[in-house]
Amino acid sequence: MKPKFSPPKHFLRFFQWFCHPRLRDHIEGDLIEVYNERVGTVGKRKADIKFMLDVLSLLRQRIVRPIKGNKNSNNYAMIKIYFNIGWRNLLRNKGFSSINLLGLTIGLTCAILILLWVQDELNYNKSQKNYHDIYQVIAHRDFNNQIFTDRNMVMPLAGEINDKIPQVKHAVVTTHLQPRNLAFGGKKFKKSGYIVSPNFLDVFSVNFLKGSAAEAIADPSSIVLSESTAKAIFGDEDPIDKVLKIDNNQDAKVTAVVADMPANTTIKFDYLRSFNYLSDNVKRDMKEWTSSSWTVFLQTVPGADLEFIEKSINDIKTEHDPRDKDISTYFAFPMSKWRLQSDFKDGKNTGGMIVYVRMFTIIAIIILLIACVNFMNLSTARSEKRAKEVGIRKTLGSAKKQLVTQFFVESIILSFISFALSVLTVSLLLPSFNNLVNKHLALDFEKPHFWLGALITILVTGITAGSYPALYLSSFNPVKVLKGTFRAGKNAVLPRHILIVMQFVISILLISATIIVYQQIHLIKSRDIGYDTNNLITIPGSRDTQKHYEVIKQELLQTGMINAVTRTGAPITQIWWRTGSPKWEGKPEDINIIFTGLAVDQDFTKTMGIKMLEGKDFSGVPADSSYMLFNQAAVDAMGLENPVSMKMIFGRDYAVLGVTDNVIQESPFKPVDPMMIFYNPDNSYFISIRLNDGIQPQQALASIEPIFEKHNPAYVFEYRFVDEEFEKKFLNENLISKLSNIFAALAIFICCIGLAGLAAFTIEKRIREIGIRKVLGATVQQLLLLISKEFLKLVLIAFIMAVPLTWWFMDNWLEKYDFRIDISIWMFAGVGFIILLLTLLVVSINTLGAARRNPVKSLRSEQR
Amino acid sequence: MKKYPLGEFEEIVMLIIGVRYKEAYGVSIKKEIEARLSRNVSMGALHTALVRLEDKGYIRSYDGEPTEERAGRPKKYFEITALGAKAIAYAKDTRDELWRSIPKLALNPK
Repeated sequence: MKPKFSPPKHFLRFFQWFCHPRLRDHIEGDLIEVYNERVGTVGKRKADIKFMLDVLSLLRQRIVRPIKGNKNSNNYAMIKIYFNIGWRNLLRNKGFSSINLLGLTIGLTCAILILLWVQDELNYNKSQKNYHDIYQVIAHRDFNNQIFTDRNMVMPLAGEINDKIPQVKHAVVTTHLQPRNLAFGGKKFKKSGYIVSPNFLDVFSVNFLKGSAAEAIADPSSIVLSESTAKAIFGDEDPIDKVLKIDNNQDAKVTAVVADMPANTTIKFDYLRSFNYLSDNVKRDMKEWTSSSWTVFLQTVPGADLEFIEKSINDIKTEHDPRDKDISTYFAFPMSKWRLQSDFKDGKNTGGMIVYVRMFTIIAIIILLIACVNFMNLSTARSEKRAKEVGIRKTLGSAKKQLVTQFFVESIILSFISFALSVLTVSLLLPSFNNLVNKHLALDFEKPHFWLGALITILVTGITAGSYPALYLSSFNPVKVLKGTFRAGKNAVLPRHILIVMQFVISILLISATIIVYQQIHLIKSRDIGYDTNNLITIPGSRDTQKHYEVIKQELLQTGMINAVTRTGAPITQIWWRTGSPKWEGKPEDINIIFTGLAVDQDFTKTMGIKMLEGKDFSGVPADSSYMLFNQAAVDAMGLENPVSMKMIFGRDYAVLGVTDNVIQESPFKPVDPMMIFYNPDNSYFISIRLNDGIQPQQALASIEPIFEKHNPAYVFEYRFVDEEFEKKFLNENLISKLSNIFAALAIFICCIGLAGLAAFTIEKRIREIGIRKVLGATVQQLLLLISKEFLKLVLIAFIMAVPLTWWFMDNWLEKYDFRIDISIWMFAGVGFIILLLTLLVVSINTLGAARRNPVKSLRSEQR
Repeated sequence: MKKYPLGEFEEIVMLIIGVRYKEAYGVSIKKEIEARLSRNVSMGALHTALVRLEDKGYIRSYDGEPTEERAGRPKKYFEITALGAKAIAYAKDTRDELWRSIPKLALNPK
């Protein structure tokens, strides 16, 4: 009699799990025998319950297995066999293995490069010892209808914080990065550094190579140099106690040399000096509580109450400058956010670099995933070939677990080899990659976390790639496989198709995204920027150039290469001055527009190539200083009808002389700010030179340089091409565009590798069908179509899925831009067409050989 | 220290193994005890006792044929070893000795 009922499965499993293996079989037999008998006498339900009780009653010390489990002394031999067989399998299928290896290596290489970049970004500033306790004091300044976030602070704030808030260990005040001309022994160098309060060195970790921190900047006439700066100026000489000439008007003695700050640090400098608190300038600034142009940093005691500190800072500011209370809210911005979350909009933190860090992490994972999917795809495609092996292994007593291990070992061997290969590739590519992303990334072979990361990557990749094949192949029924009736049917084909579709969805998404990013950047670049950046050179001036300006200008014009010369208060590609709006008659009460301001000399519009829309430009007469120019944005924002000759009150009375076209100075992604332009040559240090048409810039520079050497001998001759400066505004966007190009290309490449492998496999399977069709008269084209059709269908499905997905993603991305493109249907049509073509190409290349082959060859032999 | 440590239930199990000579395996022992002594025997108690006895060396086991009603699991037959025989004999002797020592009157309370 065969038992018709089986005892509750879970309890039986439970019993098998806890029972000592030595006792398991016969006690289980007893249980089942009793159970079957009970089913006959008391019915299944009661028998089930009694069975459960029996199982529970067996939970006794002598019956439960030891916790350690039973040791299999044969483990080593088995593992050796796994590796042996795995290795042989890889060698036997060289084509298949190398396709997999190539795909995985490319995937891993991309992933490693991206993750190195991500790691570097995440570690920004972490080399600082007081990383967790350092804050920058920042203010949200509210001008009625708009808030902007300002990092400029008043100078005496730091001292007051030091005195009044005990939870703050140190409050440091520094200048912005100051480019200075350092001269020694007839050589001149342009170097940038900070002037700081002496406690700067207590807060920021600086590594002293020569001299000591205590003495370094105690005296305001001393200077601390970074290692590279010291090397540049003094070569191999000892720089200590040497005296440098700064900006041709001050002397400073070198007291210490410090190691260069790590590249991924916010505070980087060539030199450090301390404020001279006894000088008149600093004395005046130390009493100034309204005009902000310094930076203030805090180091709190560990675990300080931040809210209290912030409140105290606001109180201090209010005490000295009561009018500021309604405008500014001061807060402490932690060092951990300086790099990645530095953007503010309307008084709220809106992230920043972190967006790209996240985006690229996702891309790294996706690329690796595509490579893993390839592996799964090809492995399951070959399942019929390995089915017999599985069948025989199972018949000979292989447990499923052992088969699974076998397949995992194979995939881990592959992932190990490709990891080694990709580490090699990465080391070869790193220099050019560093160049591209402007970083100093390196593989840290000495650090243990590199090896740990490597191990994890290898295992995760191997196991992900091997998971599906391992579980799928090992579940074959040996009887069916060996009888020869086994066919990988619908069940096997469907997941494979899903995987292919998934790959294509990702590829289409990446290509479309790349195109959209490109179009967006192109749109911004083709915006009318309001002036002509080509053939325009800017040279920062000095006191000497100001003194000799008229002479310089004459000499420049005499070269015959130069069309016009002017001076401005700030480089034309930057905004240095923001202020509230002027007053005018009929100004609505509640309106408060933030204006940008620019001081200029005569010939401003002529030199820059800016169109005058109304009125005229300054003509260079002294009376010009009581006039101002507006740009069109200002006129629009104020709602003026006839601005020319209107009276404006801005500190004193002005009249509007003219209106210029809108000039994009700062961000090409944002609308142009309203601007006031003043005639103020004395405060315009930046000299801009417009070259004549057709003059080569290098040729012009050759004649410009001697003029400056003559009149400005103490300074390094520096010049900037305005078009290059303007292009720098796209640094991030250009980088993103370049990287996404590369990654999209690689993703498609990996995708094609997978496609090729799968096509080759399909053909191998259908080789006889192809042969028979050929005998019956099919042409090569018909055969190509036959094979391609299967793949084209998948591409179509992927396309339909990818379009809305891309739309959604990219629409989100575009949202942050004020000027943005519309995503066009034609772009998708183009991408679809390219992918279709690519698929046809890849499949055809693989099919062609088979389709042309003499059918006799494929039909003659019994291959199986 | 007992000469031959043997619990009451263990003694019964051993006796039953003797009773079902050549046919003593888990289920048959359980049934025999339940039938003869009209008491319930849990699987757990029985198998614990069997393991203990085997550890003490009073019984030994050998595998039988797997049968269909046991879903292919083998039976495990038990038999008494020489040491086991001594142990139950010792237990019986001590009991008999005790019986003999009881005054007749004590067993006939009024």
